[in-house]
Amino acid sequence: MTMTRRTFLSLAGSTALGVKAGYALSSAIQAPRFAYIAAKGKASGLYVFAPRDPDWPWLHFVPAEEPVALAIHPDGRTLYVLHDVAIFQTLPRGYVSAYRIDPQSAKPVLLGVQPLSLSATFPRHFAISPNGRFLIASAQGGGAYNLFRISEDGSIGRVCGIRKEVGCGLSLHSQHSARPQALLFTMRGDCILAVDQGNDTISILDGDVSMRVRARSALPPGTGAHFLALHHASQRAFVSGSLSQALLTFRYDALAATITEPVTFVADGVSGPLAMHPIREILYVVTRRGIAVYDFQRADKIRRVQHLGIDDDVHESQSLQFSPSFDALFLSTRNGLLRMSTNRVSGFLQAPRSISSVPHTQSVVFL
Amino acid sequence: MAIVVSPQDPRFETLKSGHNLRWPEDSHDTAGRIYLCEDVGEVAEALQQAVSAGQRPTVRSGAHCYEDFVVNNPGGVILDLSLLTGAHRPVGQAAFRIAPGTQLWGAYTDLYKRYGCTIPAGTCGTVGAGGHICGGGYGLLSRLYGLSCDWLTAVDIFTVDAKGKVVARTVDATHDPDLFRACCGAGGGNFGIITSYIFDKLPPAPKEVVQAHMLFKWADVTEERFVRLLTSFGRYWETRGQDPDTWGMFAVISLRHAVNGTFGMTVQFLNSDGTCSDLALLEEYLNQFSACAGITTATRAATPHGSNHAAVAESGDGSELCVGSYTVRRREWFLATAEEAGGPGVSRAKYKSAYFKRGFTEPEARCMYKHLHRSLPGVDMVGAVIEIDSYGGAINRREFIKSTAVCQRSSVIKIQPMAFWRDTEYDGVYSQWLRDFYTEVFSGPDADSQHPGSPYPSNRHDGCYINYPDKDMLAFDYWSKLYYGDLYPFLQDVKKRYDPNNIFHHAMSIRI
Repeated sequence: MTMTRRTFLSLAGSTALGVKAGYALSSAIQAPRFAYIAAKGKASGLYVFAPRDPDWPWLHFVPAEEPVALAIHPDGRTLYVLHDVAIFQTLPRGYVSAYRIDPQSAKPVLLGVQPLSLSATFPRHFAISPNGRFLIASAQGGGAYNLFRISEDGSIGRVCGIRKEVGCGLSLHSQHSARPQALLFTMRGDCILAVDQGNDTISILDGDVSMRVRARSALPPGTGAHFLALHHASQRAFVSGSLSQALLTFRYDALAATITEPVTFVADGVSGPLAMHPIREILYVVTRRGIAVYDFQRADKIRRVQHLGIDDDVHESQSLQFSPSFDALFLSTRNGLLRMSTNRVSGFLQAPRSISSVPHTQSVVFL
Repeated sequence: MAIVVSPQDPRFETLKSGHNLRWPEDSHDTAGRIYLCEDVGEVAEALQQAVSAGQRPTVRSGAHCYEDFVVNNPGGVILDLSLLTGAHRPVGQAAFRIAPGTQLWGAYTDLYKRYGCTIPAGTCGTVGAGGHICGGGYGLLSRLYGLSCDWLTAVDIFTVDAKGKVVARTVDATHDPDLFRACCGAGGGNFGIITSYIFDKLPPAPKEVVQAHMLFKWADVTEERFVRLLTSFGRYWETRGQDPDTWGMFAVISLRHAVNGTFGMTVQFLNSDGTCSDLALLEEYLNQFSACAGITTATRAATPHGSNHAAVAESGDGSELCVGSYTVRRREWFLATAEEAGGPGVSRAKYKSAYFKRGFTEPEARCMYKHLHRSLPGVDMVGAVIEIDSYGGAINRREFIKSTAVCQRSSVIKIQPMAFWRDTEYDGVYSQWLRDFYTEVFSGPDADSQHPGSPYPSNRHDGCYINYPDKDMLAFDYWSKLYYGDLYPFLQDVKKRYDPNNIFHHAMSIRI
């Protein structure tokens, strides 16, 4: 059996495989053949590379308008792109694109485009359900979540669910209204965890067209919740606050529709995205000066085990992403993409290496 | 609790649409449910319910919205205020109140019979007060008395605060004055739900008016005569029509496409003192057109101003089917009855608008002539119309520039190009006909060369009317300037303060 990253993660999450067993399995996972980078700004578009060691040969460039997030369908045939714009076809809304990936050349070929709902502007995050049938996007401009159906061929249908959020926070500048940010499907795929920078909440939403709120918990006022990471096996959620620069953790139970009160365990210095180690109970957090590594194996004691200083400008980073083979972590920055090898045993990071200098890199995904 | 009409309800198919059958565009865009609110408490409750459930509320009163602003609301909620009716002065109160669901004909009737007064409109009988007044509101009496919103003293409005809580407000020149000003002309669907329009005073209803109708047969109207007609019309309103003694006169030319054979002009006249004692001025006006092949008639030559289906022979709903050898038509009962009973017509339609600060130039008139004779293969142009209204007079009183949100206070003519048709297959061609005409007339030698294709505010033109919204204009990145002039930043500030979560939005709403 050729094990994909998804089937592996499914096994690891659902059966709580031991760490050693997990690592044994990870060696069976195929190394990625292609890497897709989204970059905004003057050179806005999709960059395709062959992720080899030590260099990544550049393969293709496909112009795309302000791509801010990327995702690949579980079947590996379609690339999805979220466009961080205020206007699409003269109306106030962002949009999402689907690209068929040519199996030979890896070049993305546009399959279709779908607008977000009216007033859903400046989308920042999206996620695909584990079964590959739904895509959900958050739009910080309009305070909305949009759900799309994905067809068998990978194309996206029109918006089939809209949830319009309300609420505000302490900051007059950035919390005058709801601003949905990061969102993730739970492992079963029937729920979505989402955080809102504007109204300082974390929510469990139904993963269907109703997008009903199953549970919602208030974050400390002034958090500015922005990024989210889930540890499925222990049902723990981690949230970074862009305003408070704090890191918080929760226990959630999607079935019981509960979210425990948050616990703040880092009060200062957190600035950006989070990444969960695929197997170990280790969390990676972008800080103002680099990446902090936290071990949360013991529920009562979360401790920082490493801080990797990075000279590059990391405070505007939008994504922190593991490679499919779990041997490296990738950080998108305004100057390009950085790669940090991870220690197989400790999870510690090694010094960063610049992989690409595509400016204003937003996101990277692998195939 | 409001009456809830869900998709399973037999009324839903009818009520999901307004009078423009182009919307909702398809089943995907259809609202999830409709709340028919019978009192103010139900409005607040329904609004809170929608907001709390994360649903988008849209609001309608008369259902005349030209664009898709209300009924294209996928999965959302339409708050229908059409049962919230009445125009009266409550016992013990000095002010008049008009409920948003009141159709204008109902308002004219109530105010006339009860108090001998009126709002300064006089047309568009089935339009709801809700959209009419907050978008400015004009009609045949507006040159004499100004816009409907010019008379507003206060409004009762529900807004939604930053935390998502519905807040009841009565706003006027001293309480939330900026919001009040915005409600005086910035258009519906922007800031909240107005549940009552309050007027300390209203103008007296005239005892009588004189109506003149002039019929023009296209066969007799050469291009030169047509140019003379339009330039004479424009010159009058640009010059003589500025004098206060003419403000009681309002003229409408309904330029129907040449395939109709005729077009007409209707004039309503009264002296500026509210009487019809001296008709010399009317005669002077009509004399201008004696050389334009016009025939004065005692009966209406043009369709009534503001008709929603001006030139379509039949309403545009339903489908034909065969019963044996007979062709019959299946229709929704409510629409069929509306037609039989004199209610609003329904059709597919597209509208545009433009304000003119000066009379028409010869190239502008020739452009109209050209497009009113233009034929499109396989298309019956019977439903193509350019309506031209006299404007100005009391509307242009400068003091209202600062107290209302209507910035177009220098115009002497307002045009409304429009088209009506029945079948979906013609959506594209009729819309394109309008677009072609509009683009050409505002790209000619008299147009602003920096902003071709639009009536960008200049010494000749003054943008568009928000109650005649046209999504085509969104193609111009300065579209807000066309509708709101220099007031847009002010309106954005009001929007941020009173609707920070952008609960009330549509394609052309104030953006934050």
